[in-house]
Amino acid sequence: MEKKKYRSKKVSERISLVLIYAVLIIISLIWLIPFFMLIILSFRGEQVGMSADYLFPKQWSFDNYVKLFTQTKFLTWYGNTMLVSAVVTVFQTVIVLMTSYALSRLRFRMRKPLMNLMLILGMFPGFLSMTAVYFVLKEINLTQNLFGLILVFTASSAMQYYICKGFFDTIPKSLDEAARIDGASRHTIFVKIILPLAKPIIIYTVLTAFIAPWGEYMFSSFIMLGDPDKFTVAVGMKSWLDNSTLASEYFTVFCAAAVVVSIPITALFIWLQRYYVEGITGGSVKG
Amino acid sequence: MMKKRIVSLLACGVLAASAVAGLTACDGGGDGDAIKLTLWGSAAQQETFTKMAEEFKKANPDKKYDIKIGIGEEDMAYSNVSKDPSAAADVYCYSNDQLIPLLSVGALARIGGTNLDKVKAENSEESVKSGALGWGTEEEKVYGYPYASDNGYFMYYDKSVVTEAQAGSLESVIAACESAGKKIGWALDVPWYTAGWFFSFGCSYNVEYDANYKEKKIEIDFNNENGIKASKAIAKLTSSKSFAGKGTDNNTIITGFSTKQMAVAVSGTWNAKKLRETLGENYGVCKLPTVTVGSETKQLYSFKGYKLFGVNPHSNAPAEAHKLAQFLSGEAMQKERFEKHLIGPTNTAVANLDSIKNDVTFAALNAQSAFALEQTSVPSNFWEPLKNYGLNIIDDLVDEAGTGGRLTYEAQLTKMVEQIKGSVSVS
Repeated sequence: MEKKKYRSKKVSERISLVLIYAVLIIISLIWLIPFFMLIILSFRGEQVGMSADYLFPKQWSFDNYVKLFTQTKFLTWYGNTMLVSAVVTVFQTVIVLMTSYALSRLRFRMRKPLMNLMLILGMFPGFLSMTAVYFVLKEINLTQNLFGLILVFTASSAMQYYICKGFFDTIPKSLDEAARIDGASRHTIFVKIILPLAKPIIIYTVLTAFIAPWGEYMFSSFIMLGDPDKFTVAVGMKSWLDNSTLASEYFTVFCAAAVVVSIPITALFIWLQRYYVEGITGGSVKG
Repeated sequence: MMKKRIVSLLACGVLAASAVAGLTACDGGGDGDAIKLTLWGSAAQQETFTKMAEEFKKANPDKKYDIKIGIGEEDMAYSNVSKDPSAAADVYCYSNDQLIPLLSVGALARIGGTNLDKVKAENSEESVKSGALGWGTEEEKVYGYPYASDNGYFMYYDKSVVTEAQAGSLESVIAACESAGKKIGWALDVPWYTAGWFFSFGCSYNVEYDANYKEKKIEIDFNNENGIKASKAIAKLTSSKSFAGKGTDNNTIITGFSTKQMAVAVSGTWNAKKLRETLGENYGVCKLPTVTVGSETKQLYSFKGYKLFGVNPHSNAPAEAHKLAQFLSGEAMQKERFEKHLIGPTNTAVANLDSIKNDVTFAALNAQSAFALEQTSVPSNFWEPLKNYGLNIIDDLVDEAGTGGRLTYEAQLTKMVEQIKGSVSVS
């Protein structure tokens, strides 16, 4: 009797597991289909425009990728985006870490109001100030210039301190105090004690800092004002869509470009994934 | 002490960054004598523009030019240029429906003197007029160097489905497509294509502007009995099972023809090359068909537009900018543009070339242009209400008597007209 009961429980458990997995598989399929479509379309050899009613190419080919790198300015755009993202990543990571350290460890007047102010300012979408920022950049001759773009992305980076500061708060203060007694300066504590313990949050900061400029469109298109040598990938690819002839002709090339664009981010994610998950939960739960 | 070091490190970093930025801002400045000009054109013609810029330099060997070519679509000229006219290109392409908006932000320089004489002498009057205000009066002002005449639409058809004789009237086109089970692609949810039906039955609008190019007075009579007739004509097509429905764009048309599902489409020269390849011997083009409502048979009208080079009044070298625009819109360049991109010329000499005269596609465009309204001084609120009205007809939400919970044509047209006029009371 008891044995039978045990078995039926197992069966019901199994059924619920099967159901859960079925639902999860369906959801993940729905979620993954667009990505598979993109990759498959990028290998389509025939030109039939955007709204063809079949998915798998009649001719598989690499032509779209060849065309992408030989007949368009994509490589220039890719380089521009890479440069901007890389520089922004370095600056932003350094700034965010330093701000967070200061706000977590130092006690100074106006600390709380400053934190609140940054939090509130950070809630306004950045593009609200786009026109104003543009004219400031124009005054210092940085429009149609990649460094102008870097400046825009880096300027407000300190405002993204909160997750990082939350993580720093979880590192025991007694560590700092012990080091102070041994004669360590704030700088030594930051570099030699806090940073080694904060690896996950550094990774998190690097990832978010890289992704933001990588896919950004609004500011880039506004600042670059139609100069195709300074476009980022987002602006450049949008310029194909603006032209009705190119939109259909370049559709498969566009897919190929999208695949190439996603490569660095995917690589970065796979490489840093382990730390990334740890980083988010570490910062948000304990902080 | 450490704090000081960090501060100084940061300061160094900022200095270094600004130094680099400063250097890049100045690069290219070494060539002091060169005249710097920027030119914005369509993304599809970047190579052609680069080549043309080289030819311009060759044609003017006495001066040194540094011409930078950027991307700016003709139909987006206003949104691109108005961001900051003082930083926009010296010479840019625009379609003539952008004329008034561009003038309202002070982004177009007037053409005069010998430049104007040359433009008038070489191009068709209509095309020069499309970039002008007060044409033929004492206050005439011309603001563009015309170079393309093909911003209009006509009908493509598959000769294996629709015969040449059938293509003449909408009724026989629908009948032929219905019996063959093929679709008719006609973007009636795009107001640019819907407006023509109203013009056919004699509807019209008129806009008066004040000195700042703001709309002062809008007159529009789309809600009279002619508008109702036009609505009935549209419903004739949309109620057919052959009507391809909403969302017909270049892609649907090209795909539709290549998969043999579509046999008729209304579009412009931009699809000519692809469709000619797809249809081969069965490639048919002609002006739009006639439509019969009650006892009246009317030729369907369309919009037509031109594309022009505008010169930015903020240019640092206005005389050179005019020279470049004049060169780019000249006979040789228009011929080149036709040969490379099938762009219809405004230059009368090029238009009379046999290769263009004998081209069936351009013959269709020209035949339709006799039944086309020029797309200038369109009320700024024209498009959205008309689009919604087109959608109402496609979705079968309106009819003449208002049966079965539908709204009447008259009520919806009156609403539309009020929305179009609405922009006046707001400003």
